[in-house]
This record gives sequence, structure tokens and C-alpha cells, in this order.
Amino acid sequence: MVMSVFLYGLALFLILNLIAGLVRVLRGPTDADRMLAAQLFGTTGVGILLVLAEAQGLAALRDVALVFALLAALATVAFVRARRGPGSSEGEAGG
Amino acid sequence: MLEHGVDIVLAGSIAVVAWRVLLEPQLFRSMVLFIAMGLMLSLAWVRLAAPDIALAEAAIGAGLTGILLIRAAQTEAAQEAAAAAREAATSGWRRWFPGAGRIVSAAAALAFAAVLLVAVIDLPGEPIGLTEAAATEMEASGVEHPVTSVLLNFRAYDTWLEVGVLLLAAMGVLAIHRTYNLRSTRSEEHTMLVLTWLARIILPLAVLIAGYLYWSGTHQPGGAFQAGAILAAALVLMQLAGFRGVSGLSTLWLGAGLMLSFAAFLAVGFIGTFEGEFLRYRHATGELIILALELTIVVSTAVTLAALFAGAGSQSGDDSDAVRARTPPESL
Repeated sequence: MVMSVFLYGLALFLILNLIAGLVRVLRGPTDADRMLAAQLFGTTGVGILLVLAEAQGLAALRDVALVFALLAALATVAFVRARRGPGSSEGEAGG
Repeated sequence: MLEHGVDIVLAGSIAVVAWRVLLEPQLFRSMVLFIAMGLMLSLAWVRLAAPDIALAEAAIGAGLTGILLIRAAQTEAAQEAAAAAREAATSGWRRWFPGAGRIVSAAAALAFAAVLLVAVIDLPGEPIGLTEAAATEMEASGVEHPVTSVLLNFRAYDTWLEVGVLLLAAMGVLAIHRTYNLRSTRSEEHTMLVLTWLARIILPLAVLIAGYLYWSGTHQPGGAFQAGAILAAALVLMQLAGFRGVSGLSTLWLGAGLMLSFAAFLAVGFIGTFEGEFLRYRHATGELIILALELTIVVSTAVTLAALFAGAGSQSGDDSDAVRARTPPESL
């Protein structure tokens, strides 16, 4: 019982962290700040999933966390690539 | 008590974030919020004790959707469209009725929500449907995990058509390119050392985890679509790191990858007709057939989703593309 309260309290705290991160997405000030906030959502999400896996007794949630951990970096990679794509000063000329 | 706190906060924030995604005027902000919403939706599925859907949402929402959106928003067409939309919103009759379009869509959405609400209230209290029948027939399906046995056996027809939807999407991308393969798409010309390094770490891990999810689908949450989405993300990372991913495939290989699963379902279906029913395989070989079909789904999903990305990154409309479009397909 105590354990369950502790775990769900932890999950709630981490979700509130996510919401705090959303403020950073809205405020910016630059797109890079927003992207980094999204990157940290991935990390927080992994944390929440691991806590919930324990709290709900669902081992499969660790697999979900694994997938998040693997793929979280990709959106940032696409963001960095897009910055160097067409429209930037060093963009290449056509395909 | 705290469980309900988690659920209420999660549900409330999903609604607020969805609202902001729709109303956000700045494209990039809206995209990042959408990525965050994918994560929250995944957590919501977790709270509903549906790890299979959470896994799919994680594999597609966290990985590919964000990349596709960022890539698509960078194309000139998207930026022109956004500018045109801003222009249209402040000119003509719309200037006199700011938000008229939003009011109409909000009214339509609310009406739909009301209908749904009535339908939910109308539901009988006792569980109906085929849950019980599926549970008793599980033995015969060939696999132990109920979600997989429904997707790949009892409702294989639906899954086949979903594979067909993916195939159609990829055909749409190729049709827009007016080509038979994606070789003409823009490839990254600068190599970034960090990305090359990252790709070398993530690619083997992605293959390993995709294989794990594919295999575990027979007895626990996991499955072919999720595994395929992870491999697709790996292919996209290759492309971003400057390697030839799916756009390096020749017409023959790309076509084979796209069509493999659809064709495999068709073949299995016809074999089933000898036993009296299309797509029927409820016997000892069920597990083998399911594993084989799932393997084709992994391959086709990976190639299709990666092709969608490769297509989104292209520069359509410039002269060189038009010239390429007229060149005949290379010989097979």
C-alpha cells in the first residue's frame, strides 16, 4: 500500500514535470529550446513508464520505455538536419 | 487515490495540449506540442492497461511522426501553404468574421462528441462482443498472445487490408514523384560526424529491439507493426546521417519491399481457400504461418514508412525533378 502510494506519487510528480516542460515549448524563446524540451519529454516519459511498470505490475511497459529511449533522439536529429537543409545559408543547391 | 490523480492530470493535460496544437499559429510550436501529445497518449494507453497500443504509439509517435512533421514543414511547399493560409485568414470576407471557420469546425466536433456520448451512455452494462469466443478459441490460433491471435488469425482479413493501406500511401508518394523508386530524392550531402557515430550505435540496437518485439509478439505485447516502425526509424536515421537508406533501393527491391506483405497475405489467403475459407489457418501450422506473415509485415512496414520519409524530403517542382520524371524507369 505504502509502495503503491509512493510509486503513483512519483508518476504524478513526473507528469507535472512534463507539464512544466510544455511551458518551455510555448515560451521558447528559440526553436532549439522547444526541441530540447521535447527531447526531455522522452527522458521523463521513460521514467514515468518504468515507474508505472512497477506500480501497475505490467512488465511490458518496460518494452515501451525501451522503444522511447531508442527513438527519442530521432526528432532532434531531424531538427538539426532541417536547419542545415534548404533555406539556411549553407544549404546546397537543389537535389 | 493517487492513481486517480495521475489519470485526471493526464487526461486534462492531453485535452489542453490537443487544444493548443490546433490553435497554435506557429507551425514549429504546434509540431513540438504534437510530439509531446504522442507521448502523453502513449501514457494514457498505459493507464488503460493496453501496452500493445502504447508500444505502437511509442514506436510511431515518438520516432517517425515527429521526423515526418519536421521534414514536411521544412519543404518550401509547406511554408508557402502556411503563408497563404495566413494571407487568406486576414483577407476577403474572413477579415469580417475572424474565427468563423473555427466556430464551424468546433460546432461540428461538439455535435460529433455529443453523438458519441449518447452512444456510450446507450451501451449495455454487460460486456458484449466476441471477447469470450476469441478467448476460448485462442488455443487454435497458434499463438499465446490474445492481441496477436486476433490480428493475425481471427481478423487477418482486417490486417491484410491495413497492410494494403500502407502500400497505397507509399504508392501515393511514388506517384507524386512520378517515378518508380526514390533514388531521385535529395540525399544529405554534408556528413555530420556526430550523426554517423549515432547511427552506428543506434542501428544495431534498433535491429535487435525490432527482432525482440517481433518475436515477443507471439506470447506478450509486441508485434510486427511496432518492429517495422522501429526499423523504419533506423532507415530514416541512416538517411539523415548521409547513408543511402531506402532511397538507395532499385525499382525492383523497393517494389518487392513495399508489396511483400500484401502479396504474402494474398498467397496465404488462397492456400486457405483449399481448406474451405479465405485466410483460414486454424491448425498446427498456425504459429509458423503467423510468424512468416509477421516477418513480411516487419519488412513492408519498415520500407513503406521509410519511403514516406524519403518522399517528404524531396524538392518537388524544380526543373531537374521534371527532367528526371520523364526518364523511363531503369530496367529491372
